[in-house]
Amino acid sequence: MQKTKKIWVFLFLLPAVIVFVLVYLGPMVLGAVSSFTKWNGMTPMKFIGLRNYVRIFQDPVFHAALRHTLVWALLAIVIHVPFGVLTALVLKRKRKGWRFVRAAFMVPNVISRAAISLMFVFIYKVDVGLLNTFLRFIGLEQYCRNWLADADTAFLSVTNIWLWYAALIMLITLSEIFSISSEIEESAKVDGASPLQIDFYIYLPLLKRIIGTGAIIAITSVFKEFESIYMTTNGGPGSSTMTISVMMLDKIVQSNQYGYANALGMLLLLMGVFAMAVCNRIFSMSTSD
Amino acid sequence: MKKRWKWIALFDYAVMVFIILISVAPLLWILISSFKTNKQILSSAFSLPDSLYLEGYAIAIEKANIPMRFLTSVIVAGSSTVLAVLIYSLAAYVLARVEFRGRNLLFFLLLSSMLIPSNAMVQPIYFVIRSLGLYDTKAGLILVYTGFAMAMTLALMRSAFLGIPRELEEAAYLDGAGFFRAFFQIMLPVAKPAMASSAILAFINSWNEFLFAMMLTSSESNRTMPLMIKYFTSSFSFNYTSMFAALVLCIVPTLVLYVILQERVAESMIAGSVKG
Amino acid sequence: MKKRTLAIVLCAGMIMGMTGISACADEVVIPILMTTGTNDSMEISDGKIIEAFNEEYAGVYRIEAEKLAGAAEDYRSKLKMLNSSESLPSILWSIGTEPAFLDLMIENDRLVNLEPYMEADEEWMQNMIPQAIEDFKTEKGTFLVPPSGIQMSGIYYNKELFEQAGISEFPQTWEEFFAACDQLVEAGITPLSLHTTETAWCAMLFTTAYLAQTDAGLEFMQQQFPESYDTPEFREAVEMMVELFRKYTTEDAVGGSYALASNHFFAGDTAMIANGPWMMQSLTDTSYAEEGFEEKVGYAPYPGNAMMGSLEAFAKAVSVDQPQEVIEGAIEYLKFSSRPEYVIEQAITNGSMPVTMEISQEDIDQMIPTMQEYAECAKNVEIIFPSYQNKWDPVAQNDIFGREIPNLVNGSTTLDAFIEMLDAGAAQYREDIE
Repeated sequence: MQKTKKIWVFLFLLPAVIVFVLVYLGPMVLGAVSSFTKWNGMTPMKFIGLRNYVRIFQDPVFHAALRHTLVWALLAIVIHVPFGVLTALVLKRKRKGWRFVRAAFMVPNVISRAAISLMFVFIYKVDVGLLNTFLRFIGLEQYCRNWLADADTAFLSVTNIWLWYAALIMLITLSEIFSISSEIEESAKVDGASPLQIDFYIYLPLLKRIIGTGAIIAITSVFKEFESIYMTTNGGPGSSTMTISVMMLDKIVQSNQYGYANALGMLLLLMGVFAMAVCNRIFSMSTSD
Repeated sequence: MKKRWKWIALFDYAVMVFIILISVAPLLWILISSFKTNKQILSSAFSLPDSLYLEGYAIAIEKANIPMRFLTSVIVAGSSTVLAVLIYSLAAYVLARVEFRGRNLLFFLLLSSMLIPSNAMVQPIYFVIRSLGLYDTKAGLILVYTGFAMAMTLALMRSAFLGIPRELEEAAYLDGAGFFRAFFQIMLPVAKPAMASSAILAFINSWNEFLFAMMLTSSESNRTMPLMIKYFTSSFSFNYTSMFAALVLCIVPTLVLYVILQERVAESMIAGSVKG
Repeated sequence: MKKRTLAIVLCAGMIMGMTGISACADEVVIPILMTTGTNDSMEISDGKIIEAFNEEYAGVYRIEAEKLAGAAEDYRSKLKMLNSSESLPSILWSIGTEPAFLDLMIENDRLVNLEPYMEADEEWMQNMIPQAIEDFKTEKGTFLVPPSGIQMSGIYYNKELFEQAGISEFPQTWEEFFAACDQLVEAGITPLSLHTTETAWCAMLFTTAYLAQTDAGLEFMQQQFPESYDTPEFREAVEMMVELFRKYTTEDAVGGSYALASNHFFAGDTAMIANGPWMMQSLTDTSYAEEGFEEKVGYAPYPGNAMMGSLEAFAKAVSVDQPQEVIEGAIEYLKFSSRPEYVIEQAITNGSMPVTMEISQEDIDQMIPTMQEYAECAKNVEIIFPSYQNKWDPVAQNDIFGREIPNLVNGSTTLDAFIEMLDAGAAQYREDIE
């Protein structure tokens, strides 16, 4: 009996472990090792020490990519997450149509990112785009731009593709709010607290933990963001919308520099782990008080 | 006092209208535009179509071979979902119930896959898939997507199994059921809600995945729906109507699924985010 | 060990389940990848010859084309991916256009050395352009197929729009050209179709034509992977290009694609587009243009009677990734397509002008009027300059042209900075190939 159970345990775990090895562990080891080599996929890897990393840190394109990723992480924390929480606080008052709003907000989250990005390409089009047509319609013609091809507006335009779509944050916050007993709010109302006071002094402190989770989700998704750049500006104009992912793909597809690309990948990975650790730190601190 | 509440109501509705505006309006615009002729689109972005012009759809369906892509997407997303739920349920059950040395380490390790931004691994994964002889096969994509569903499915399923009272299986064991039967006949049925949640998340993610679908396949018969978008931008960018039509066709399947399973999708997303 | 076996079994099961096994007859299938959907697609240029080949060799060889919707650039990106997985299709188009990639392929023995096959077939040799046989020889052998004809690029222009602006003759000097552009603008017509993605092809054609008008510029154009772009001629040409973008093109040219640019021309929004004769067949294709559009379109060389032409640009190659019998079939096709009747056919439909054989007046009469004008231009051209795509490093073309030209046009980058980036890119490329 004990022995057959052991075999079962082994067999139950095996497929998951195999997938882990093939999709995560193997590639990670390969990525890490090749990041110290010069490798074009045709000739064998040539060990070159830290040269890829040195080159990356000297590359002004990487500086831009890094800056954009960090700015995005910051925007995720100061705009994306708060906006999600705000909508949750609004929807919790269950105004007429709140269910519909909740459902509608989710829509951009369930459809393909590539489709959303292409949709924004049309919105930003210089001649027939929705945005410029609208601006002309209300008489603000002077603000019309070639949004995605203008170095001044490209980054902001691309950021807009994800910034406001905080449905996931809204969803988890709202479900947390609903799990909090409504008596608290009732008694506060009786004491004459204003709705804003209720939101700020009663709900927000209770939501700290879930907001922390939301922050982690937001930051990891920012690190993964790819289609919204690739389908719109592909990093340009200049390096004004370059991110590490797009830069990496460029090195892989255009110039077969796998070692260099994987060094970029390793940095992306380290950044992801680091951001996660920081968030976790802040988040566990907030649970302790 | 009353007045303050009124202002808040105004603010709430403003936020709600804003959300509708950013979530639904662009989609509606795409939908309406897909029925306009190219000329109409070029002359006015706002106008309603003169007549129901379906040529855009005809071209999109014909040129992009949408039925085949749709089938490919169904096979890839469907198989990877089934595989993921099955494989990780098995593992999650063991990790939840059986004591063995290194259990926590293994769980932590498998869960750490969540930490890795998949983009960072494009080339290495490509290399592994190629070495396995799975380049440009649906099987290659299925394997990778099954992998991507790991952390979330594992976490969801494990917490579901942990929530099932031990008495249930013990009763099964007393009835003479083995480990295998106890799992499939007793545990798995009880964990159905968690399985459904995992499946929904895995399916949506696989269906929408773009980067790896692009890198790991090359022949048209293995291209999935999101890649259609790329296809249209690179060769049909002169025909706006077909582009809009293609966009609609790409969006509709997930949208329909979402509308049907709305509450479940929302619940899954919550569960997946909080537990995963 | 057990794990591995299981993994293999698992994967094998997946493959079999997913791909199925296709039945094979005795016929040797030659797989190729073919672009479709754009107006410069391989489907348009080679489709008919492939059909004829399959008919003649039925039961022996069959070329099976997998269609790839996209531009030549998408095609090459895909080849690069297939190359690194050693699963290249048999006959490769367009790789001569990317010398960096071509060098890499030759260096790593990824292409079939065609020299023995060429030497064994006198007739085939005779149909090839002698200059190309000479040029394509490398130390390791000949890896690009010397073509039988050459396609040269000039300017398509919309005669109707020129008339509307009161221009009766196509400008012959650059001064006249700019004057004509001004005149078009005054008449409310956008003169040029330009774009910045895909190495800014249409814009760079004008730019390099401008560059080629001086001896120093032409000499610069002949350099393979120039070390520095900092020459007065190049600077002047870039400045000229910026002017074209600022004054004479559509709003969406900056950030736009070739498809978008050509669409404007076909829709009659712009008066000119620079491109080669491979686009010719689209003029009569009603999915691009209205019926009768081809009658409005004339063809002219660049000012100064210059045209762009590179023997490498359309040269094909054969990959080593396919079995020997497929390689032989591919070479059979290459010979097949160099038969006089197909070379002439290519001249009539795609403007690939034969060098080793005469084209008769009868053949010319079969061409559409625009193509006849092209043939006339190709006959009388004085300056032929090479394609920048064959000469300049990939960093400049892929990274810098596409991303920095928009900045240059709207003033957020200076010319100096632009040149500096090009030089840095060239240096980086040199380091990469070391």
